[in-house]
Amino acid sequence: MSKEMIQVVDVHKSFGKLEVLKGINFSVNENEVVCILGASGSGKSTMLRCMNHLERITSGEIYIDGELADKRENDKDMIKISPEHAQELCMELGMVFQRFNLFPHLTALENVMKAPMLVKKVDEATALKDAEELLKSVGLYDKKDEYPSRLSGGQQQRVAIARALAMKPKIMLFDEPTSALDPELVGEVLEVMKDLAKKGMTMIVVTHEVGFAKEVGDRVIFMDGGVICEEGTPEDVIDHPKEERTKAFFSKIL
Amino acid sequence: MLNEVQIQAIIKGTGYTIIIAIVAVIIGTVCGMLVALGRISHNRILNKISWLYVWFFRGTPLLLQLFMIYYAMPLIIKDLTGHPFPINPLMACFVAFGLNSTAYMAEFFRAGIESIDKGQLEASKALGMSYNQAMFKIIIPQSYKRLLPSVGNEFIMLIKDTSLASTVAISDLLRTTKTMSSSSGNWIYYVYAACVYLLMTSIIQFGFDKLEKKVGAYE
Repeated sequence: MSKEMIQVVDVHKSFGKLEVLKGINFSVNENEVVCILGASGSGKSTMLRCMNHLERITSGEIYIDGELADKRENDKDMIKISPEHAQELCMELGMVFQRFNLFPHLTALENVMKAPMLVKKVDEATALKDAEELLKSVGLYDKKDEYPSRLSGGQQQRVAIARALAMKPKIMLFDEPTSALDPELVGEVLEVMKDLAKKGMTMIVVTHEVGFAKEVGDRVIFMDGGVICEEGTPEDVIDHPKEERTKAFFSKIL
Repeated sequence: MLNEVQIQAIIKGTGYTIIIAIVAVIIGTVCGMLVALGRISHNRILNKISWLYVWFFRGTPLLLQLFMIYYAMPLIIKDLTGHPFPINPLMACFVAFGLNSTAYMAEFFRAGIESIDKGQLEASKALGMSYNQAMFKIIIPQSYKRLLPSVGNEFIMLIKDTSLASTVAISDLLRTTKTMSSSSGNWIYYVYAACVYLLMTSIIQFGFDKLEKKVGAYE
């Protein structure tokens, strides 16, 4: 029985009067790749952002690597976790954004080195070595001294993946990593992600790339209207959906 | 033409102008950043205090602020403590110009910081950085280029506003010029003064243009 890396229990999230997540339950095992699919506004990205506290949940519980990281009710914390400990737990999660969010005033290499040096107090030589290694692994070693503005979208996103990996996270969260890319650049980013999956990284991928979900995903979660509508193997959910809403969604996009 | 004594007087007057502007711009930059951080902070008390600060110092004349510090404050302190509290006019200028500049700089900084894409703070947080680390290492450095034009502008305004220092008995450039002109009956000194002001503001403008290009090299 493999270990549960993330467990989400009855999570609700409201923005003012608008309830975006209406009771989400799921868990992700170690080395598993879970793809979250669904229409825009179904709450997929919000779910992802709640896990590492970019958004605070309204109520529910989130466990990271077996530890309670968040427990809230009516927008109030129900457990006392120090901000430092919460930060530590969130650091087990690496995040890749739709719009890359690279630091434009730093080179590719500096982008990757910055957080380990600032947050983990890694010395510069080690950070440099790690960063060069990581840039090699995403195939961008030759671009290490370029500023993000000089890189294509695909290259920027690969640097962003390297930057997240530099913190040595146990789980990687991808928030529509290819949605802002030109079609011809999608492939190179998906390649890097496949590579990561092969190396055994635990991944949660919010995506519209059904092909990727089928090929790489161990499990697919289909969200609609703030709830998990259907969940299972890619074949079950994508090719043989049971729920009407899932059927309607995939018949439209496939 | 100018004789040696007059040249020395003009240089001395210019010196006052420069030193007041530089001290004020330094105070304004440092304190302005703190007030700006207060303005964007989620702490309601800090937020309110910094709002009040900007409201007062931007909303009243600089000359009034200078008079309050130079003329009113010694009287207030005397009334409260019973002891006379003489204040050096140059010191009063440093404080008044510095406090005033802080209010303007704070608003520039706030606008500069708020203009940086929210995704930058999110990415910093997602990488485990604290709010302060994200602010000082990621967000604020990106705002430099956007801030430079306003800071340069403020510096130029300060150079010119220092002429108000003549009202608290400081022989700055303008007061020196006025004295020379009225004692000799010659208007040409005002032209010299204008040239000196223009020279100073041109240097600042030139310097900030250069700086802007250098700081924004990554774009």
